[in-house]
Amino acid sequence: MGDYVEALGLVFQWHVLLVIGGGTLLGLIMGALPGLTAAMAIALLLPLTFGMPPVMGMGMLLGTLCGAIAGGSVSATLLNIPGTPSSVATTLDAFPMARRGEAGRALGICIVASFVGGVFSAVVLSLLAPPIADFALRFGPAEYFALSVFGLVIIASVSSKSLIKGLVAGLIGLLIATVGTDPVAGVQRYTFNNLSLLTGVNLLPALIGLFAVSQVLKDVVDYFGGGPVEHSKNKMDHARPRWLETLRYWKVLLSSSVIGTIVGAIPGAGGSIGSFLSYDQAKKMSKTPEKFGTGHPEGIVASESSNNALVGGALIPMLTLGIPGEAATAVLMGGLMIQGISPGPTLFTDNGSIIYGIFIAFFVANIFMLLIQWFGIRMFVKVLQVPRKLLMALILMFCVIGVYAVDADIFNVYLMLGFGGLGYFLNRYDFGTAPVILGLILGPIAESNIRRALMLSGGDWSVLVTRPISLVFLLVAAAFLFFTLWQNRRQTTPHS
Amino acid sequence: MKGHLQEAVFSLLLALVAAFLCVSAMDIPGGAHGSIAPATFPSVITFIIALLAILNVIACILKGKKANNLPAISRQGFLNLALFIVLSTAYVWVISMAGFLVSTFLYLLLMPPFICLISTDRKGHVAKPAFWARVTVFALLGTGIIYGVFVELLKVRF
Repeated sequence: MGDYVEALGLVFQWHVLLVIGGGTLLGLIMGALPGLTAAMAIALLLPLTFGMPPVMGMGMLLGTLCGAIAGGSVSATLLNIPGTPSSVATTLDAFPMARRGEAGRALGICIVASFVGGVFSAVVLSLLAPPIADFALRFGPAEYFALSVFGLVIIASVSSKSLIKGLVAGLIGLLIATVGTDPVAGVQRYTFNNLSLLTGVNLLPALIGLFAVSQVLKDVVDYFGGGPVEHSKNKMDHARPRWLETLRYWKVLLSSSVIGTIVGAIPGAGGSIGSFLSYDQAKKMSKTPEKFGTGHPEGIVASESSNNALVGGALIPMLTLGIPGEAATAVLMGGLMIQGISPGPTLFTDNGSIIYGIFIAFFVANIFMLLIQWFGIRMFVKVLQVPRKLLMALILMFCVIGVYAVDADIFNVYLMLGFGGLGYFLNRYDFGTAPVILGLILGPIAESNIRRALMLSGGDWSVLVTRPISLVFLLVAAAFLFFTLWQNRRQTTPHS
Repeated sequence: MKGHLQEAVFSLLLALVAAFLCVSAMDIPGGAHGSIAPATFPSVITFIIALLAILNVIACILKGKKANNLPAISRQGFLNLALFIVLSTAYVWVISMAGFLVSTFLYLLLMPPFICLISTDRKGHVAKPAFWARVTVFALLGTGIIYGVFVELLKVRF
């Protein structure tokens, strides 16, 4: 309780609230632009948080995440292009409604559904995270190694259509994590006599390169055809939150928020899966399932409440176990680590006020998301008219300055460009970039813990299977690996 | 070159780099001391990457378009990509040589015409004086705002 009171004091300061609001606003703007993902938005704003206290910095990034997910509904509604992958299901009903001349109504429902979903997941996060962290305190080195393997296998399995490609991407991350001075023996690995690499590959150039620069490079190649910037032909009527209309579907709102939170907490599941599952469930529950896909409010409520509930769900494994479930939370976790805070169960015992401050900041970010959309939705519609091609130049400039700002080491900026090129090709050929980041984050955890586990057991590898929690993680990881392999084979077999 | 063949080439490059790093890992000194040696983790990882990347090369060749139905990157696309990377790298190099103000102004002045030149619908803009006037104002304003935020407010030293 004392931690919560202290945390309230950390959040409710005018400059902290201003920064959270600013992050939410920028997230909404970036989310509204098709192709700019939530992970990219957070990666771009990450350098701004270095000089901030942890709660303030994380509050800003959480606001960005909430805003980006909610902002995705603007282009989904007006252009039929999801601003972020988690808004794909929103297009099914919001766009047909907008085409009927009710774009404002569709956006009004999106605003309320996003808010309810986000607040629901914030409550679940603050209730469930502490007991999970408490349980995770029992984990020793063997359990942490098994958990790292589990997290990596799951994200490698689901982030690409091919298991081989997902695993290659995850292993590239693990390999990059080995660069630098070995933490146990003190010898250099893959430093190639470069002083900047002695402490390892800095996380920020990797994050910004893989998530932001790679997207800019994709645009440079894709826009060679030079299609004109898309503008909405749908007229905006009054876009204000539709409280009564949305709350009328309280069953859909509740079930979709629950589904979103659960799917978010499963590593690797991702936003589009959560919103499609909720959409499907709402259709089954509905008395008028035939109206889905024709501009039915229930469909919008299901998708939007689910994708915002996903954020709180995804924070549970990230904060309690140190395992980010998908790209955006991996970048968020990178932000915490850059501030010198390692997510995991000890965070709850050592930095209680910070962790509860993060919970409260997440709740506040959802309120800002509601207020900013309430009064500024028309501005986000204007954002869609910004020429994308000129935006690329600005984004790259922010990437360069952001990375340079950390330690004024120009090598890191070149490294970022290199990661951008790698990320472009990994994305293009469906290897994915999320497993690389997860590998980069989990690599040191996995390696240091397996070494500690073996030292404690006198070099006996059976410690990984004789400890029950470690065994469970490894068995689930193996089961998931075989299931994905079986699924891949089934998809490639002509009879199936 | 078709999309799946480009993917095969990319996977082959990954395999070659991984194989090189696997061999380099043998030079990493240090013993196991009751656990695993500093070279073990990198060796195992690079070996598996090389193996899986080769498997992907084989899959791309055997499955053909079923493995990857992407349209191939055109020669022009590669050229645009290369030019963009060269311009960006030059920007970073000029920062280290001439500082933030000059490099950022030049970057913001040259990048919009470059983007217009590579996109078919905006090529004509570059010939118009009004375009250059707009771009110059954009570059001046952009440099000023970014300088204000990063150098003055956030105290980043360039």
